[in-house]
Amino acid sequence: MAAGLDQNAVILRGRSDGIAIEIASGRWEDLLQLLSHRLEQTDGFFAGGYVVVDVGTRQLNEAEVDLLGRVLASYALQPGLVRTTDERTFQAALALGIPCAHIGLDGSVINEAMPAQADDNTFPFFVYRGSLRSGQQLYRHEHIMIMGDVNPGAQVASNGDILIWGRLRGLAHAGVEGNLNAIIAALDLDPVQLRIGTVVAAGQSGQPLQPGQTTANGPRWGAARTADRRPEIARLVNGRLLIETWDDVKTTGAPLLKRRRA
Amino acid sequence: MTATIITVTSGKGGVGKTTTTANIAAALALANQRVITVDGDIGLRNLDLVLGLENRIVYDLIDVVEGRCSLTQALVRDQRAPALWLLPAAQTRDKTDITTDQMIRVCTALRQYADYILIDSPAGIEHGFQNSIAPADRVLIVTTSDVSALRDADKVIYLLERDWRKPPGLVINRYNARLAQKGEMRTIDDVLDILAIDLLGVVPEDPNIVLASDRGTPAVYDPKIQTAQAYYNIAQRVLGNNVPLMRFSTGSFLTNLFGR
Repeated sequence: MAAGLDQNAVILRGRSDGIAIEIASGRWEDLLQLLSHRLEQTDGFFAGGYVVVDVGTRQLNEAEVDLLGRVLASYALQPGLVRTTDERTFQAALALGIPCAHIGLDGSVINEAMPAQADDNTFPFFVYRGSLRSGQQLYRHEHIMIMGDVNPGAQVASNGDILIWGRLRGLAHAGVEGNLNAIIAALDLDPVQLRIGTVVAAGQSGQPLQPGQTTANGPRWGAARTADRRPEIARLVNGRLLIETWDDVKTTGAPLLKRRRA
Repeated sequence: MTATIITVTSGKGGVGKTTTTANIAAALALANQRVITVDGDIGLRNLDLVLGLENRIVYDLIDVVEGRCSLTQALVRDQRAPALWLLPAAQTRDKTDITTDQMIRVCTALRQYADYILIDSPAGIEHGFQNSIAPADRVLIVTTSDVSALRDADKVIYLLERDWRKPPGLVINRYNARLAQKGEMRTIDDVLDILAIDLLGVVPEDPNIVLASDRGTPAVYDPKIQTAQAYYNIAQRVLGNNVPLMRFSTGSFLTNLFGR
């Protein structure tokens, strides 16, 4: 036991479907030791249950969040949701693929990323609220749903589909692990590069313009917003990447939407 | 009353951080604020040149940190404004010669002498950038509307949100309204569409501003440079006053009149 640590620094509460853990301030290693001690006392009662961990305002890096995951794993528990008010902690949990929620100081949800309710017929969905900026990366095994923009320089990758309720102007890679049925869809599909499985296609945005030339949508992603943009869907047809507007898919591509019940 | 610390940064180099820092600082000083500028670019100091104070430097930031002089001894006064000082960087040393803690301590100690402290951050996102960001209450991102500057600014905003939780404001520099209107360059709206942060001001492209910096006289000191109004407006917005965006001449009438 860590000496000098408030015994109430780690609080365990039972829930109907598992357990809620609240971690107050203190040294992270000491707190995890205390948590470990508490879980020991439950004698495996919550094993396999749903775990919500509230880490408060603390700023944690990837290694520290990972340590939390390991402590829980040693008691046959999985972090079902990490709640934090800290953006850095949120990003760390995100990078580790742990469902997480970024909570404002007023208790409102700023950002959340979690696998949506899965049933037997579908891949689970991973929902990300917010925009991805240059240098930011999101990689998930599940389908990804982004409610926001993917800016140039940002990367998003999934083994399933990638749906973007916003503009895709960075790099999107669907079916990273070889799923050739994956699709990429966005309200405004203007990527630097698209990849599905092993097929790579350069976006219009990546092409150099001739001096004085502007594209149909203006100079790259600049004036595109004023042009007539429609929701588009990219998929593989005979090994080539095909991009169609939603209107075309809706009328002729019904099989696309019904395919695959893997 | 203690000072508000504002760091001016951009990610990419050469977009006008130093010129922007010098002009906003001078504009704030002319609005009767006590202002201290700090050059965070140790080893590649420029702010003293743009402010025209190079010849009066005796001590620098590293001398303060290493105890060779007091904080106030190192401050160089700009006589053209009521209350404007520069804390110069060392030209002979390196970014790693000062730790983040030391930078925070120096800036905290400076707070009692000023209303605003402006830190001119080096380009990049490494140690020097982090040292400049750490003490900041607010961050100003300077960008031009070209593709590389925007890409880097976007990354810096991401880092600020992720690691620092400092609210950034945006200054669009060297804005060419004529090219934007012709659809050949991004407009202000296009830039804001990508970066999605608060806009503090737009500085039009004007060779006079560049020349003024080159001569060591920030453009706001020269009444003949009309575009310097942009900096006065930014200073007013920093002070919390609501000022409408400048109107940009896009050619026709003014161009014909002045032939540029």
